[in-house]
Amino acid sequence: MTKMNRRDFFKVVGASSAAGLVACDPTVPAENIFPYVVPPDELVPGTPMFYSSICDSCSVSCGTVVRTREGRAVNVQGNPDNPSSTGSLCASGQASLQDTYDPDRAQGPKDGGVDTDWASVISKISAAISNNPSGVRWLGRYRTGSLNKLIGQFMDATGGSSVHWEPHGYTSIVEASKIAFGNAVAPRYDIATAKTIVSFGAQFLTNWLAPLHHSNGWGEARGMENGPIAEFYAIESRLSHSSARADTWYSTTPGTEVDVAMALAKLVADKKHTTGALATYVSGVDAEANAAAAGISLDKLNNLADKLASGTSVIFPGGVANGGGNRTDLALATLVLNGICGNIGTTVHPGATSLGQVDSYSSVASVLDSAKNGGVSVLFIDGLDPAFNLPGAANFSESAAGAEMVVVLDNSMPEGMPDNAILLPPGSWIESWGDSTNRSDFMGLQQPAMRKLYDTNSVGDVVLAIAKAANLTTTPLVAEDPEADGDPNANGTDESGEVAVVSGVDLNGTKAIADFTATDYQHYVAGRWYDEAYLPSGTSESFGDWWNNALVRGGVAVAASPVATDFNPSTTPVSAGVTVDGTALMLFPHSHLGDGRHANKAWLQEVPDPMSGYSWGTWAEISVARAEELDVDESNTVTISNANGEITVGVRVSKGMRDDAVAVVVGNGHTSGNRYSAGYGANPANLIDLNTDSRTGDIVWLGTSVTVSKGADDNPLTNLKGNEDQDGRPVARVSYSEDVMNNPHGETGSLATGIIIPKDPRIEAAGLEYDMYPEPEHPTYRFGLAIDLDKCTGCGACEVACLSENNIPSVGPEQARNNRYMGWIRLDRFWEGEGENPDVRFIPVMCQHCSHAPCEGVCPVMATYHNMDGLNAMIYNRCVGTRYCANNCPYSARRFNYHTFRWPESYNLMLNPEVSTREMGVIEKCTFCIQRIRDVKATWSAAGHEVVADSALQRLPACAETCGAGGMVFGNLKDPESRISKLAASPRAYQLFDILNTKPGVRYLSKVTFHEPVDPHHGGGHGGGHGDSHGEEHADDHGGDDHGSTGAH
Amino acid sequence: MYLPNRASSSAKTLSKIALFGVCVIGTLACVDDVDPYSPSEPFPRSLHSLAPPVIEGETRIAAGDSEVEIDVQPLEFNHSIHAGVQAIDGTTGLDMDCQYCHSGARRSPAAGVPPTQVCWNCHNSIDPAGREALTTLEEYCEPLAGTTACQSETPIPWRRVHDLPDFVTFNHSMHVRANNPGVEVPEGEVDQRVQCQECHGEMQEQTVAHRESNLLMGWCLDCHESHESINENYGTEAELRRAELKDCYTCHK
Repeated sequence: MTKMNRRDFFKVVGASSAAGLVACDPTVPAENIFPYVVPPDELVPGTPMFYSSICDSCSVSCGTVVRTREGRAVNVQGNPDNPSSTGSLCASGQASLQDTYDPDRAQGPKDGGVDTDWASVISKISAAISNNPSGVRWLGRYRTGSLNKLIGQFMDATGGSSVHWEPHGYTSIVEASKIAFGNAVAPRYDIATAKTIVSFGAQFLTNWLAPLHHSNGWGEARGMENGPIAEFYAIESRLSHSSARADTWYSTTPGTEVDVAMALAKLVADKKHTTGALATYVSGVDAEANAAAAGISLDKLNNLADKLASGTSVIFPGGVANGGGNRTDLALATLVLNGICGNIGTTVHPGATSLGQVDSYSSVASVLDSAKNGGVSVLFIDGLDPAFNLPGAANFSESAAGAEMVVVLDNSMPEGMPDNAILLPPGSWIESWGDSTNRSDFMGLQQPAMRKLYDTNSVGDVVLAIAKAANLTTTPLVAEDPEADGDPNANGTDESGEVAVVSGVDLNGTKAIADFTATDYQHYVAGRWYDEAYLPSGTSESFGDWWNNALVRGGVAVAASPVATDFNPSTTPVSAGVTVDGTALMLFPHSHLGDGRHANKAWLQEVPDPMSGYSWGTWAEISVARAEELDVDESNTVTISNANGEITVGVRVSKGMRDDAVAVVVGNGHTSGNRYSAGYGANPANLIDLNTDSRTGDIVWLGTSVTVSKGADDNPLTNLKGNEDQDGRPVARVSYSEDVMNNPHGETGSLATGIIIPKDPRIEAAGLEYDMYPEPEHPTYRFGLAIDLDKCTGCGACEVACLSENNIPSVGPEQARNNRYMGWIRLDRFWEGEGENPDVRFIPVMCQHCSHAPCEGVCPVMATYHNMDGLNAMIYNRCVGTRYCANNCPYSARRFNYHTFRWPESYNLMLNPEVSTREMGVIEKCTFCIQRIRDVKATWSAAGHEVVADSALQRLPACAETCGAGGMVFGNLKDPESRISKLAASPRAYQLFDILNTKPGVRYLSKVTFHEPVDPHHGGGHGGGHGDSHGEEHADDHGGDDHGSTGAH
Repeated sequence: MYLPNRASSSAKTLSKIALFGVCVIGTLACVDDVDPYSPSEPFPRSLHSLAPPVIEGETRIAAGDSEVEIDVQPLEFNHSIHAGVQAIDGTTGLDMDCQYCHSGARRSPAAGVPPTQVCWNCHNSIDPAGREALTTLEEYCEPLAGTTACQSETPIPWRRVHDLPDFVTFNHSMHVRANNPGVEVPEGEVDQRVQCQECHGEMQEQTVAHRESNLLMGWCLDCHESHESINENYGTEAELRRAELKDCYTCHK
């Protein structure tokens, strides 16, 4: 071969490299700038507009504030003026933004899958109604307020019937209330003043009844502002997510929780010398026998009864997972117990909420029966996915196909619907009018925060349109005329134009409002509010002014009508331990996905489940012993089967499970929906035997038996939970409750010490500093975040809020498996205890903004540095992607963009314009929401202040703002009067990995345990962590009651 | 690819290998891509930058270009008549305040350009007299007959003259505030406040707006470091303020 000279060689190499570089063009296209044609009065482009509204993600209807930019909703937060949320918002509420921008949702009505227009489809439906009006059936989700009334009027006018059903509804607690007090209404639980909290399985901190309101109360109950810290007991067969925060957990045989409740009721009644109907009711209870039946020692119940007898308490009933055939009896027993403890009217307010006013499955079954037998002309399905939620034996598809016409009011077609079903998309709550009367003392008002994205119409508008087209009539709410002067306004002045326009009041004689003549649903709502809130308020404001005020605040407080609370039971509770041959199947709703309705939101699928760490799928929980027996671990799957069907899902080995049961999460396994819901996981509802309970007629979710065997495949699920055990390291620390309550100001020193490295005395003796480098100068601010681990419920709302605020992409299950989950804040969970002291510790971890940050010194280009406000700043365009900083960070807080992640069309509309989107090759991490800090500083300096007041900082970052328990507090550590400075000085305060001397700006406050640490002299973290994980082996030696494994487990 | 006439056969072989190598690497780079532009892809991602693709014939600008001429505006708006003193039709220029039209400058982080209605509020009573810009304006406005209200749903698609990269946040109202409009400049003293012209050039003498500054970070930092108004507005705290202004997080988001 002829030799090539050096010149030719370099020419060749150079030319081929140059070929690769030609593609880079350093110029960008000139952008456009679009002004308005006619600017809206109140909108200043570049500044956000905020609208108060009501969230529709679940039935609770918490108050929200929607932040919009140039008419586009970009962020959702809680409304501080609304008592359901008081400024916080749960994970599902945060993710409801993704409902609006769902890339796959229907953009207009469809008839049998074919696009159509509203006029033709409405006339088609109304013709079918006119043909056979009494054959109309409504099968829908729980509806409140005006929509509930409108649907009721509509169905009355047709002569058909309506069923409102929730798959995991609260019919049992409503029925229990009816038995106990004669009123079929659910209670509202105000737990802020409780000293003892007992739960028999209700997921009151996760997704049961009013979880955000309960979290608000939880935060206050665990704080010491209201007195001693509330102690939480969980009494249920499986340790569920809400109960993970329990200080003590008594595991019971499934179905015997009611025995425990009645035993407690008897014990407390004896201690309190209760008299009257309640005392008579429990007089025949044999507490010892009951305790034995449940497998709990009587001594323990006596201890608990002592606590219940000596202070305010609150007792929650059972949840979905342990809701067997006797769940109403359990709810009744807890009401009795609440009554004896004196909680009715203090922490438990029967009838103070309208949640739970739903029908049971038996009503659903009768609708399906008449559909199957040809008796249904039009079947409306409103916001439900019955084929997904119901067991197969309910035969939903077959029945629905028997109706002459099926009209689905949903944004995408649920599964099991006939091919010729009509789809009428309502859009999202961010684009709709509505209201909520879930609380008896507050009416919430929902208004659109942006114009409808597509050709959709809300359920209220659709019902009105159909009623008009079918010429239906109903009785209107006739406006009272308080002054009998022909003027509906109370103040005497004639604002007729305003009133007529807003409320639809026809001033020519008949003052008919809130009937089918309303111009649209907005006017219907306004008409109802005119009659039910404006007039009773007796205000002298004009209706227009009053209405605008209500819109701004998101609702109005109203006088709650009192509910009878005389205990007058019509029956006694029945104990029925659930006996199942083989393994009992327990279903529990997913913490974020609920009953499956939220599976279409990428954020909620992406954020790992707080207990298992799994995302994007379904898993089954089995106990440690069972896993050994089956020879499985978390890399395997299990096959769960019975006569009804079979599923194969990933395994979670849990210390909170019983050996004789398997728990499967409900939420995934959809075959329909959008690209984020269809095709993930498996639906366990198909395995359930279709049984109903005798008291409510609702489906019994617990009571089916299955066989469990090792599955052939590997576990497909992504597990992001990391190590379940701290291995003795003081990451999430605990302090003993006695120490905390007796030394609130740290009189005895820190209660959350970790590993103590003694300082070498020679350093001080030589007059040297212990630190190698001086602390950076922070002239004005040193921002910090205090996270109270005792208040943290592990709900994950902070994770979703961060994804929403900071344009963090969803990467999907495959990339997450490669450890490329991009969330800036993660919720770590450690399960330190065994048995009765589970000691589950949730700890949210994000960039700690260290003063001596290990990441800053190793960046070769100074893309990350410590700024003068104490933040660790990350500048994306300077980063070259060496990833040395991520490598050096001891908290694993930094995330690298291995790809340029993009957003599908219409998901890209929810991006926050205040935050960059990052390209491949740059590192990103928590910024303490610098965009919000910058904004608040600009606002305050524009108003002439030199520094921002603490009150504006406390809930400034997205995570702190949304935390339901109020566990995260932001602020200026340099200001001694700020709330965070006081928290940082608390004896429970500590820094994560403080032995590394990184001096973080994030301060944690240790969790409080009511179980004395094994080594009391070590006082807190290290002793607690070390003790709990090893204490069980020694518990019997120490005679420790709390750590020992007594009969219960 | 240029090869000298006397290239040996091994040079050809090597060049083939090099080309092949480039192609292989290029293919490998694409393997982990999912089509980011497919409308049904749930987790779109790419190994490429966010920069939009090059389209032939489109106006392009480069960071650091001074004197950028954006000469493809939808209509020829003449700044010197409105904001300056250029005579037209026998009348002198209007010499309007910048903020009459750019009202966002003091209220918002984005100054923006005026809505069509603002233009039409005056131009509804001005005879176009054959000037193309004014007839185009009327077309963009579509005034409702008998009124001065604009009915159009199409805004005027102006080309942006002053544009910053997406990873930078710029708050206009803070800069106008440095202008301290409420403060009277005493007689005989030099006005130290930040004028619009300092960044935007003598716009009142320009016809079609063009950019006279390169808008690079160094140019911004020149004023953040040493503009006289900082001392004026902050007095003893000026040193601290300068440090704050040079902090990366002040502008980088």
